[in-house]
Amino acid sequence: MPAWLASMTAGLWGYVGALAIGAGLAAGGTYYVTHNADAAARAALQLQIAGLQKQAIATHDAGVTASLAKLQNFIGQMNAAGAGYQASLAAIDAQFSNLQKGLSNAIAAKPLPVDCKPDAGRVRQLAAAVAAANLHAAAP
Amino acid sequence: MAAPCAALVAPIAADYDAWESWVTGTLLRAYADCAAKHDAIVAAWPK
Repeated sequence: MPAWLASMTAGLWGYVGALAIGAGLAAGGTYYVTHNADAAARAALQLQIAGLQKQAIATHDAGVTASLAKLQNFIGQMNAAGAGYQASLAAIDAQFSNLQKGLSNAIAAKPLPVDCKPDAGRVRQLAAAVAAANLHAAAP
Repeated sequence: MAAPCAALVAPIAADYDAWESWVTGTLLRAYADCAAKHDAIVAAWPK
């Protein structure tokens, strides 16, 4: 390989590496802020509940103690469901990213004829279906 | 989890490939997200 090409390739890989590291740091930072902010808020709430529980036990208020225990349980359930949802989203992202790559490869391997295009009527129908779906998504 | 579902963006009238990309990358992706959200909400619901 000529020296100029080797130097250009090395430069390109350096650039790609820097981009990958930058993207990784950004994703990690977002994850940290989101999850730790949630964790801090949850810890503060748990602390408040623990304080109220102590008060309820001291005053022998069984009803309040039971309600607080129920609330704590509910918070735990919400937290577990939230974590499960985040894990599902990560798995979905990975799966659909692979699917899109596969589709790009298929398109490159077997390009369609240039005149393979939808007509105005079909585009209109699909746009109407998307509008109808969005209308329901936006409904309270 | 409580965030509203993302609104769908209609595909551009380019060609069949663009439509398939929209179906797999946008429409079914949104469906999978919605299914996961529904599952999580059911799991979080007090029993």
